[in-house]
Amino acid sequence: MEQPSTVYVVDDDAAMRDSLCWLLSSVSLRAKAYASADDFLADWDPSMPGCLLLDLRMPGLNGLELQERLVKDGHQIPIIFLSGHGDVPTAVRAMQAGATEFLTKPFSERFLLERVQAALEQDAQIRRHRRAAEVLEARYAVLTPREREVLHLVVSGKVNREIAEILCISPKTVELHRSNLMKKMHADSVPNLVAMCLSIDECREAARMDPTL
Amino acid sequence: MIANAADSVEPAVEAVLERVCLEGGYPLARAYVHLASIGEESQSSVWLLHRAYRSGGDMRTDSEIMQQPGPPAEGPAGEALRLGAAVWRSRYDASALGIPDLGKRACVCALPIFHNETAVGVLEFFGSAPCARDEDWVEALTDIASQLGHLVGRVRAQMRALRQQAGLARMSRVASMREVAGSLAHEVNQPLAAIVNYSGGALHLLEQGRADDEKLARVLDQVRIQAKRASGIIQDLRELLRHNDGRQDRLDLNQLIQRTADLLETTARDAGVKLRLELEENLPEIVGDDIQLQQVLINLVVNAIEAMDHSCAGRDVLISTRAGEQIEVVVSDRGPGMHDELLAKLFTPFFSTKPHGLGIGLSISRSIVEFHGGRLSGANNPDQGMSFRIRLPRVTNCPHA
Repeated sequence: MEQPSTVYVVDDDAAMRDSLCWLLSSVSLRAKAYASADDFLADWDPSMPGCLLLDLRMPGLNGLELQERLVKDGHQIPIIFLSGHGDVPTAVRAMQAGATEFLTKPFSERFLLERVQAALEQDAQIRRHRRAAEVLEARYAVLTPREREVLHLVVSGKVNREIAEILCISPKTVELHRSNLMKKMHADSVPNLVAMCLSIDECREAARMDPTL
Repeated sequence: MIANAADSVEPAVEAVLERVCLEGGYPLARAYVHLASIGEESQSSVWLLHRAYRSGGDMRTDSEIMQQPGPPAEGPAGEALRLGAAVWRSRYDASALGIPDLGKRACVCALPIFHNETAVGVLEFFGSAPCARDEDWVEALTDIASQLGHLVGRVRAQMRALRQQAGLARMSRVASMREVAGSLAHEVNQPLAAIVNYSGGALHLLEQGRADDEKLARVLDQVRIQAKRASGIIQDLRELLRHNDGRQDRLDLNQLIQRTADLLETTARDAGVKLRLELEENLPEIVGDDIQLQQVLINLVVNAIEAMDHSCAGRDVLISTRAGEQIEVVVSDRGPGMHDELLAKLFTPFFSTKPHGLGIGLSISRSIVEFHGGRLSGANNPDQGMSFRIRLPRVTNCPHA
């Protein structure tokens, strides 16, 4: 069951918060507003899908510092920066740190909504990948040690005869393991199997980065 | 920065106390140094108490900062300050001063610290046994005190320069013109962005036929409030700029340029740029507002400094004055100059070639010069760099005179 996405608005200006929430709700997007980065951090549930609309200049933790904190903690929530005064070096810094977008106020509201949709899509995609990889992980977990060995050799491009030589077993046994592991992994072809392994690897990489994924 | 002035004097005072205590065998010493007039800074004086004691055959010393409200008024120190001369007591009851370490059988020598013939502090050394006055020793100590006096003088001069710089910058408001502009842009953009959001959201609802009167009324009211907020900010800025309108003083431009150059010396030096002045002697006076004109000068000179990146040869900014039919000030750099199409837009508000620039410096500068009945223009030099030229009317021609 897909959770509805939330746009988190963090801005110290009350009018900005109110108007952004109004704008987002006008296109039926859920919005939650916070007056400071700390308020956001205290309330935010990283397991919920969403994106962040972040004011650059705020008292307390500013936008860049909040971004730094999120990146450091391994969160991948897409961030759209809103800046009151276009400042190229700051924008560059924010983008290099992984921001999705850097908008200078006042921005076209259509463009903002477009970027918000893109950010939510980005977040959804990250989460889809993670879920798909979780399923693959579960399938991989039920393979026997021998099947895993065969799988790795298959994926690295070895044919049955070579695998049999490497593992010192008969080609017939290799064939058996191979057919079992294909079934367990729900793979219908070798390229399909390779894609699954890549996906698992990627996800493990991401999971190392983001403990909440 | 100014608060650190005491930090630069303290170690020197401590070193003097330590040296004299060890050489003269004094177990205790005090020093007071006055750095600035009362009310100028919180940390305007230094009070040190220094102890020397024997520990396992070695002499050791330690110092502490004393919390005292003002200069010593009583005792030998107070007397030395009042008299402006060394005070020696062969036999002195130190317990009266509230110093528990010494008993009634002590001796004391107090010396004023002079700077420019004014007593700015005092040194006080306590001996643990009665001791007759030794003129050679007093002379040596006086010498040491006068060295400290020089140091205090230097630190005071630094503090004064810093204070002037801070004061001038505050007064002229120009050093912060860019910051004002930056925060102005931020402040104005805030309500403007809110208006865009409110109206954009309202239009979406109208397009979808989901608009309800009550919600729309609330949002329209918000739009009105935010528009007023934006115009209020602009109004405030106008007030700020108008603040000095109408001052019509007789001014010596050369003097104003000299003051501006002094103010910007650090900025120039940090950028590796030399400010050269070629000021015509006996320049006729003009009439106007010195603070506003200084804003213009600072703006032009800072622009000139910034125009020269490190690759430029001959890194100097020339500021010259000349009297003809009008009084002319030229600020000239050796930077890369400017393309014709950029030159045409030079004075357009919110046009800038700098990454951080808001592009209002030159347009405000031109307004100020025009308010003074003059003209401001910019052009490329025939060889290298560009020049800004201010032409101001002589006093007799001045419409405001």
